[in-house]
This record gives sequence, C-alpha cells and structure tokens, in this order.
Amino acid sequence: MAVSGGHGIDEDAFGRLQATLGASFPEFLALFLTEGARHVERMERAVHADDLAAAGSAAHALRPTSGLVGAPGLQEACGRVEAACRTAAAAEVVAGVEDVRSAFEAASGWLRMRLPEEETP
Amino acid sequence: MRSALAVGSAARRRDRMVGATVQTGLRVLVVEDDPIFQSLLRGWLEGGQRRYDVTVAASMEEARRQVVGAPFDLVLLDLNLPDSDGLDTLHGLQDAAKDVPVVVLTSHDDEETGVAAVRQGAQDFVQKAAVDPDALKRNILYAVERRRLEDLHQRALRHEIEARRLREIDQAKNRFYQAAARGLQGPIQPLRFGVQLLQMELQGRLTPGQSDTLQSLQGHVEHLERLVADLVDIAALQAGSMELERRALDLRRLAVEAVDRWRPQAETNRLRLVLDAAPDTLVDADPRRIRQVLDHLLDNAMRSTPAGGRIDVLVRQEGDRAVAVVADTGVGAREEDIQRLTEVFLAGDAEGGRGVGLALCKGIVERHGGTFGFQSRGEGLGATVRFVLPIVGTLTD
Repeated sequence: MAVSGGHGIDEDAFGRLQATLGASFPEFLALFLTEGARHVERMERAVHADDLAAAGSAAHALRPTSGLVGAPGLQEACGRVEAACRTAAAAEVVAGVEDVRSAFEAASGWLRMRLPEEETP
Repeated sequence: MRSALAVGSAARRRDRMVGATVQTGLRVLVVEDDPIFQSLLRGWLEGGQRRYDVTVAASMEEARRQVVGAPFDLVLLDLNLPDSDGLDTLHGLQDAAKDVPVVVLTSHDDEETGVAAVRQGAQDFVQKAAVDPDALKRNILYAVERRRLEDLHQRALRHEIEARRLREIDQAKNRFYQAAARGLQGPIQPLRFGVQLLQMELQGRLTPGQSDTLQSLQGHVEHLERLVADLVDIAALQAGSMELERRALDLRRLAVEAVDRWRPQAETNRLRLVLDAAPDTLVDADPRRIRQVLDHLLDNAMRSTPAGGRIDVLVRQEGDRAVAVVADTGVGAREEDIQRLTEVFLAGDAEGGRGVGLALCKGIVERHGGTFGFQSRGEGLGATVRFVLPIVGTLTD
C-alpha cells in the first residue's frame, strides 16, 4: 500500500482501478464522489435520528468501493461504523461517522483533482 | 415450477455455447442497488477484451421482472437489496428463473453467507471489497460453463433414468409373457387329450352336428396350442434366451418338406402352391426353427390368399447367402402397416392371419444372423416375404 499525504489515497490502488476501468473511469469517479457524499450524509442523518441500522447500511454501502478506489482509511472507518452499529455502541458510531466524514473529505479533495473538467461534480 | 420463459432462456443460453467453449458477449444481469458499484461493474464487464452485455437491476422486483423477460447467461447478485436481504434474495431470484446461473456478491467479511449461497444453488460468490475485474470475468465464465456442464449431466441422468425405466418395463413384459405362456400351457394338454378321448370313445355314436362341433373344438385347441407356443418363443426371443441347435442344413430340403406338408391345405383352399428351389444349399441353422418359420409363412399365405390365388415358394443362392421367398397373391398390406407387421407389439392382426407369426419369424431369422423382410405393393396386391441366411456351402462341396 502506498498511502502518502493527508488525502489518505493509495495511489497504486487508484492507478490500478483507473487502468481496469479505462474510458469509464471518470464517470465512475464522479459517481463515487456524488454518491459517496450522499452515503456520508445518510450516516450523519441516521446518527442524529438514532437510527443505527440506517447508519450501518450507509457505511456498508460505501465500504467496498472506498477500498477499491484506493481509500483504505475511509474503508476502515466505514467498517468501524458498521461494526459499532451491529453492537449498538452509539458513542463509537458517532466517532466513527466523524472519522468517515474526515476521511471522505480528505480523499474526495484529491480525487476531484483527477476528474476531467466536464465530470467535476 | 419453471416458467416457460425460464425454460426458453436456458435453451437460448445453451445455444450460445459452442462445444465446450463459452462464447464471449454473454448477457449478464447485474442486480445491485448501489450506483457506485453498478458503475464499477458495468465499467469492468463492458470494457476490456472480453466484453459482456450488461443490464442493471436495482431491486429484487426489477431483477425478477428482467430475468423472466430476457435470456441472461448469468446473474451477478448483490444479496443486500432495498426489497430483499441475504439468502432470501437468492431464493427470490431462483423462483423467477431457476436455470440461470448466479454469482452472488457478498461483503468482504461475509464468507459464510457466500458459502451458504453456493450450497443453495449459486455458482460462486465474490467478496465486493476484494473484487478484481479479471477474476470477476473468470468467475462469470466458469459459472456459466459449470452450469452448462450441470445441465448436460442432468440431461444424461434423466436419459439414464428413462432408459432404466424402459428396460424395467421390457423385463416386466418378458416376465409376463413367460408367466402367461407357462400358465396357458398347463390346461391346454388335458384339453387336447380330452377332445381326442371323446373322439375315440364316441366314434360312430355322434350325430353329424355333434361330430362337427367336436372337430371344430379340436381345431380351436390346436390353434390355441400354436398361439401359446408362439408366445413362449417370442418370450424367449425377447429375453435373448432362445437356444438354437445349429447344424449344416439343406434349406431346399426343408422347403420341399414344408410345401409337401401344406399341399393338402392348399388344395382344400383351392390355391396353387408352386415350389422353385435351386440346387442344394447348406445353411448353418436350427432345422426345427427354420421349419417353424416356413410353416408360419405358408400358414399366413394360406390364410391371406383367397381361393383361386397362388403361393410361390422359392429357394435360391445369391453369392454367399441363401434366400428363401414365400410370395402370395392374397390380401397384401397397406404401406403404412408393413413396418408394424413385423413388430411384436404392433402387429396385432387377429383376423388376417399375419401378426405375431411374422414378428416371430423375423426374430428367429435374425437370431440366426440373417435378415427378414416383408413387402407388399398394397392392399389386395399380394405379399412377399423374403429371408436370407448365410450359407456354409453346397452339398457338392
């Protein structure tokens, strides 16, 4: 894993995904940024509403693609939220969602820079 | 229950297989509610050297609708959907299309569910967080191919079961034949002796009417005896247990004897019986069985030919084969009935005189390694039976 800088992106993993998706990569990346942001918002709303199941579901949805796009920190934070939701550890869910937000913001800043202009969300 | 659409889909899927090679361009239904993952899978499967035709469904309801409406080669199925969760998702899809192979997508820490899905009919499972495009495409190809092999295996099994069932029916039929024949043979002998005894004891004391009745009774008993004997022989032929006592045999001699035996009957029926037998020809055969064949053929010809008709018996040598022909100018047969006449269970001619006798003759000749054929130009145009046996030489050898 080659994670460097504050963005938390594994650039090797990112490069591999970019290569395998080829021409469809920009579209995928744009979708990851918009849908990823929605997942994070869903987590936050769910935490405010004390709906741990909804928070866990949003974390579950975001986790695999976070890993694939090369954001292991985000993936790990999502995993912590999922696990805490399963054990109904509310304080850990709150902390986990905050971590998810931070990791997503950090990663998305870097990822947005990799988008062609017309795909920028 | 499999829907007609599902069955059609399976057939179409098989059509796209060439031998043991799965063609590319497979149609894949991706059932995934997360737009990011949808985009990822579509990008992978539609891109690269081996491109698949991808359709996306975001819910179980939509997936079920898609899968019965179009022929998919494979379904890539996320088990967690907005309207279905876990293995219920797999079951819901299988209910809609049992034949379509399914690869399930599971969370990265949920191997247990993936294994359970495979146990319940999924072809494979892929952990979402560890998914890799090349491996995914391989999974899809293997899953489609595995399902194709399973289909073939299932079909072979069904054929085997059907063949076994038919063999059992055949064996049961043969057992029935043998039991029926044994059961019928018992009472016939005392019946025949009883009729003969009556004829001897009452000779000269019967009215002409009583005498005719007794005569007729004797004829019926003899006919019944012949039928039962045929039944025994057919049972033996069907079971492959007819024993032949083969020896070098002059076929012409047997034909001459048969014609001599049947000449009185021919005269009674006002038929012309003509023998044309070539120089002595030796065949390797059981004389009792060949005599039986000739008697059956002449009996059939006698009963199929109206008064004034003609029956020809020919024996000749053709190369290394001996050929015997019995031809008559009788009722003949329709083209569509000819094949049936030499088949044991289809003959069933109770009136015309042909029927199981021909099937029995065919069986006996074939048991000798010979061939047997029945020909007729049509109803009322006579019939020709020809059988061929391999020769072992001539009497002059």
